[in-house]
Amino acid sequence: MINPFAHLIFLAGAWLVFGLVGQRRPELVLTLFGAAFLASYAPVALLWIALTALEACLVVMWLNGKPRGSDLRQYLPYVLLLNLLFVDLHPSILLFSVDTLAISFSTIRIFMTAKQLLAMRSGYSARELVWVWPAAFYLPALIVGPVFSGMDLRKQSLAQERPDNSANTYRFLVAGLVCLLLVNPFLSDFANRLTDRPQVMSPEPLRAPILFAMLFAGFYGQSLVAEYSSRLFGRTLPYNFDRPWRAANIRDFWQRWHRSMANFVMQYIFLPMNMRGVGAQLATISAFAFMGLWHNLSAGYFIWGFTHGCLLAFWPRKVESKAGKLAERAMTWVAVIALSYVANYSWLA
Amino acid sequence: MITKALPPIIACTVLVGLAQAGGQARTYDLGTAFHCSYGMTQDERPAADILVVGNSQTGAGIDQIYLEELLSKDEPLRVEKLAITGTSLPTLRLLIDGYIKHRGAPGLVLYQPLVERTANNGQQGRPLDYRVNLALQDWDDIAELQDEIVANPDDSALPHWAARGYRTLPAMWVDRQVERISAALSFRRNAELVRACSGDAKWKLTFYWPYGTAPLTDGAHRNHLDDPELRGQWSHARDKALKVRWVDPSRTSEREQNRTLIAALESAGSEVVLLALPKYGSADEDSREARDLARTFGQDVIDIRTSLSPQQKVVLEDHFRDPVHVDFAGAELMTRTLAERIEERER
Repeated sequence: MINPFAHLIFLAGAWLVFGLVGQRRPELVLTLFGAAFLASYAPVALLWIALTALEACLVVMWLNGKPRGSDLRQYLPYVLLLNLLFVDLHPSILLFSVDTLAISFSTIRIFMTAKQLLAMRSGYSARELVWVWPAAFYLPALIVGPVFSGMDLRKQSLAQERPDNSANTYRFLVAGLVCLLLVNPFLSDFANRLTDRPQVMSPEPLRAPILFAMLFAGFYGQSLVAEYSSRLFGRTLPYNFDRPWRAANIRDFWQRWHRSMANFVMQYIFLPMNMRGVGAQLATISAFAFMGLWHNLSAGYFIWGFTHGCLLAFWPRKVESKAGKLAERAMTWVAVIALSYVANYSWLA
Repeated sequence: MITKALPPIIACTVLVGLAQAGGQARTYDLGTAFHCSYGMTQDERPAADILVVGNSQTGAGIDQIYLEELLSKDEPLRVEKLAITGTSLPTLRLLIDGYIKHRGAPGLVLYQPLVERTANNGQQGRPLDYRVNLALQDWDDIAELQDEIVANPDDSALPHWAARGYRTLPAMWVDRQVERISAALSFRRNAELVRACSGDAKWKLTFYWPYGTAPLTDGAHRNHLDDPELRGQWSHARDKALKVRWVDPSRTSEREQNRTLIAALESAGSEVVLLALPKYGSADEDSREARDLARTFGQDVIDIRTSLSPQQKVVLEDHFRDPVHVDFAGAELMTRTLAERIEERER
């Protein structure tokens, strides 16, 4: 477990170097500091991510000669996603348990970059392959993402985006730190106290809302730190959250919760399946089942993903009545909290 | 350029300032047992005549002041207890090294070999990054110990530093600053922890361990278990615990760590006797463990359970407040038994 302060110290170091070199080359600074962070805390993860990035470069170089629109060119990059299996299967293969910090998020970013390099209308030059590396080691996004393509960074680099030192950036950065360093530990402590006193709150699943709130505070806080620290370097990352507490139904929830990952599965899992004739409902369920297993190769997360997919696929299109809307909102939150409990804290986790 | 670098310079200065302030205040979010144990090792008094060393089982089971009273018949003896909660051999090694360095070697060390292999802590002895070490210990000592502590032998071709939980020196240095920054930010909340170990209060270690509590008088606080029904659940917890014998290959690292600690004490001039303390409802297992200790470490062992009379054994079972820790009455019984065994040894 990495203390958020440790990540913050590396971010502060990178920010200082960035300032001292005249606010140039933000991707290079953040990639080098990201690699140093991983080398310090998870050297094997660093190696695995580097191998995945190298693999992506080779795949892109090889596929560049293949006809555009060919199935090979379109689907071979998906083999990069097999690198995700390292997270769950490595103890059986290496006979050793290693820290897998950042592998899940970096692999997705590397994959997205490879796909977008191959999709460039003008074709890519070999120099563009360099954008795979910031996607792999981008320091602000190493802990909880968000997921994005290295090509998004390239676009901002070409547009010579400047650092955003507005009050708003600092406000959200501080809000993220408060969630991460105060609210999350407080809720964790509160949940632990309830475990210590089973006579006060039993059975265990009644703790689910507190555990969910704790998880949200940590995830939301770390996402804000990633998004707004990146702005200090002049790079805007996609938002992970858009006030999810306002979600009126499960569809609305997935437009507000872990948006970068939800967008990824819709764009890279749902759409290709749907375009090849798989029904929208089955494609949605498959996309979210993948998302569940991406979190963790466990029965709990498979149920989480599969059920979220089913809810999205079969949720009523429109609810008119006021009572119906209220019931819809309540059911959404009951499902979200219960599924989070099953995936993270139940015996299936 | 300076204007551009000004915000990060301010941010880094704040972090450095917080780290400095936290390092000075030492208001680390650690249990009082750690704060006080560390304070003990840095004290200016000469080493104790008898030092009882172990984990929370020793902390709860031995009353050092009562032991001192029982043994100081002909000449005054000074008895101290150095116990830490949780399970960390590297932490104990650093504490013992600090004790010898600052205060010299105790005459007799009664050592309960630390066990790290539990169901919750599958891999022991490897990381040196326990928060307590990073917070309190000398950096050079940590760095020196880092190379020496290796994982249990396994079938993997990967080097030990690749293992989950292992921290490289740079990561440990950053984590040390994190501890200090957290200490500065928690200054008000944790000030009591530091105050609780100031002056002579540190010898007590924590308020819930006996310290001059025995012999218990009528009406004295007994630290007794309020809910005897919980005892039924202990057998279940005990059965779930991972039982791996000291001689098991998976405990190579643990054995080596304990041997190194014993050797360090002996080479400093201490006599080391091992302590085997009883657990709730584990008569057979306790006896086996005592035999394993003697065989594994080649040291004398004082086995408290076998030293008790049949009646005392029954009484002691009623004085557990959880599967491994006794209440103050249990501590009185165990301390008295220990004193008798020490006297027997001297005779």
